[in-house]
Amino acid sequence: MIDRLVLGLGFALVASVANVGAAFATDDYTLPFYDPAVGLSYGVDRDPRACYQLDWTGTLWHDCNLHYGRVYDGHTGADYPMALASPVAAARDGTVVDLFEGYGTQQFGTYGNYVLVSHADGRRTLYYHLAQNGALASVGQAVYAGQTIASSGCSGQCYGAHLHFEMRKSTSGGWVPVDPIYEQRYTTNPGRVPFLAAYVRESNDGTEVIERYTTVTHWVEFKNTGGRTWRNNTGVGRILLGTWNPAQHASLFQAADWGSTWYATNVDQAAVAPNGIGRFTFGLHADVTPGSYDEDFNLLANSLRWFDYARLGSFHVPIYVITNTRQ
Amino acid sequence: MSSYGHVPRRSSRHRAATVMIALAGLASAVPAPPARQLSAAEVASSGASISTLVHARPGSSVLEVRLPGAASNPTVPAAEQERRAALRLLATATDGSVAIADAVGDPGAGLTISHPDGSQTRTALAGVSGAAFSPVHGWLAVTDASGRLWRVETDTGRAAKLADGPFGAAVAFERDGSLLLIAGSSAGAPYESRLVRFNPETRDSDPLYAAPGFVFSARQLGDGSVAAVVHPFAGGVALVRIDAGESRLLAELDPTAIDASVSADGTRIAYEVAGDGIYLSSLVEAPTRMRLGSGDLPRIAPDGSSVLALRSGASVLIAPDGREIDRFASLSTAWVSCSEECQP
Repeated sequence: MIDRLVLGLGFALVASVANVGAAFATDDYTLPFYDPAVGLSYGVDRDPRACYQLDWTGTLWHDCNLHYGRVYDGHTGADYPMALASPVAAARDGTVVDLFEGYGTQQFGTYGNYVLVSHADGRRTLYYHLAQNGALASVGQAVYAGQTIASSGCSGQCYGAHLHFEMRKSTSGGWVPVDPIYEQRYTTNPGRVPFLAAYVRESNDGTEVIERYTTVTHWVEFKNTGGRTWRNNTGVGRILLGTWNPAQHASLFQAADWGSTWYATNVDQAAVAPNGIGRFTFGLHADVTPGSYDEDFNLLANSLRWFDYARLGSFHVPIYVITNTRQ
Repeated sequence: MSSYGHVPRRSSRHRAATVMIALAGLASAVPAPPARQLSAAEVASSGASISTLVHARPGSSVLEVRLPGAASNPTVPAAEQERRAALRLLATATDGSVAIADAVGDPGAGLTISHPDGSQTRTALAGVSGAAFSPVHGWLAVTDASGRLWRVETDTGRAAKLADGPFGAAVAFERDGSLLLIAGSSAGAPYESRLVRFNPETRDSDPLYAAPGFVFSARQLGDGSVAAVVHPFAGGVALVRIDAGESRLLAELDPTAIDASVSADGTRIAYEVAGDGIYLSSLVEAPTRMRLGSGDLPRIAPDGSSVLALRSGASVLIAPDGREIDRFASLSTAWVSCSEECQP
């Protein structure tokens, strides 16, 4: 939560120990936002003593200073600087158990706006310093991993816009903060945003020549560079290919295998883990006047969020419709 | 009497000590912050004079404090800048001394105590957030950006740490010299907090209200009971009265109510609904709720007869019917601390 706290005290690096966190689990938690350029400013202090700081690498500091990228004293969460009103994502499936959103977006004080989510593994995640009226889910609502649940802000004890993401687990002594980075609770290590893709390749070198009134089959492959496994089931969050610019526009090239006028196909494989490559195969049917066309497509985590179009390579298919000589 | 939330039974000494350890953490190595004293002449020559003016009003008096300017943050909206300017006035003492945060929202800013003779003490407590003058001793209870609780001597500015906390900015003394503090789950993200009574002599701490959720603020009422503004998990903001180990719901406020202020007799409460305005609720037999118009940071008079607030770059005094009855140029205003009839 603090981006520039200067306590002016000397420090001593006391010890450094190896990171002994548990192996990460598939479909565990992902980073609670979508922009992969956002980085950690301060992580969790795992040493409860005042002016002793144990960071996510296992380094112990005996001072009260800030250590950018690592930790500051007494910090209970992980801070991610981001612009005001950035979308905040649920780190895992869960249920909203509490929220408060009455403070001004940049109102400074003891308290700030937040959303608190309970997860099936017994943990809770807290999304703090949110914008005024920045909770986009309600208490009792089930939320999906990667779903936008809040808008970021700088309410509370905040010295620069950021998201404070906190994970807590229940113990006999109450809810205690844990460090998702040290414990490698993210689906990938280091943690990734939920939905991100990179273009790999496509059929016919990316260009289609279609004889009018006929259908061709096209495929494109993307690497899953995000943190969530891509699935093609019918549930919320399945990964599908849809038209873009504008989103969900009715395509001139809808083929019989499309799900709708804009929804071309799901990912072919049942599951594509992070770092895996998913293929999307779909038909392109041309009824239009012969000529030169271009169709843009983007990936969508169904009912949750479109992918970052620029980061997946601004995928589009140049299409040349030619006269059908058999007609 | 129905119980609202969870009020822990008053603890034994042993249990209190356990609670204190849980709150305070382990032994720490936090150095005492530097402090210095400045004479009135030194203060004047440095251009850092703090002047006070008392405006006598029926029932209560308003203290207007004129402060040297603090650096503004251009990225912060104007209304929030005004609010932060107003919040620099942390506490007032019966002898006319005032406690000032050198800035609000600056983690490096310290504490200044200005005395009626113009002299000052300055303490380099990082990010001082809340303070209250002790009613029976010459010292100030202060919380800092890390939520630590300090005892600051008013004549020297010397600070000694009382507890690690973390505690919130809402610091209030009771008449017997004990402190009402908000113990949070963390200094930076206190989504959960509870009300404790802290003995500054023994450093023992007793939980007063610990329902899941958080406590915004608390004050002792004229009859010795404690009024607390709370946000329980699952929603809402409520005013509860805590007395003899029992809590009772006095009023449910707007679910996004902030900055609530309770009269000394517990019969009226003023609060803000951000983006809407200031409301005044009467909690007597036929509860009423009246919107007093736009404004920020309402502070109800000790006798409940009017509300002090920020509006359009000034401090204003608002009558219960919403009329603006006075206006003060300074944003830093407070009800004058009174010693008997409206303590604390």
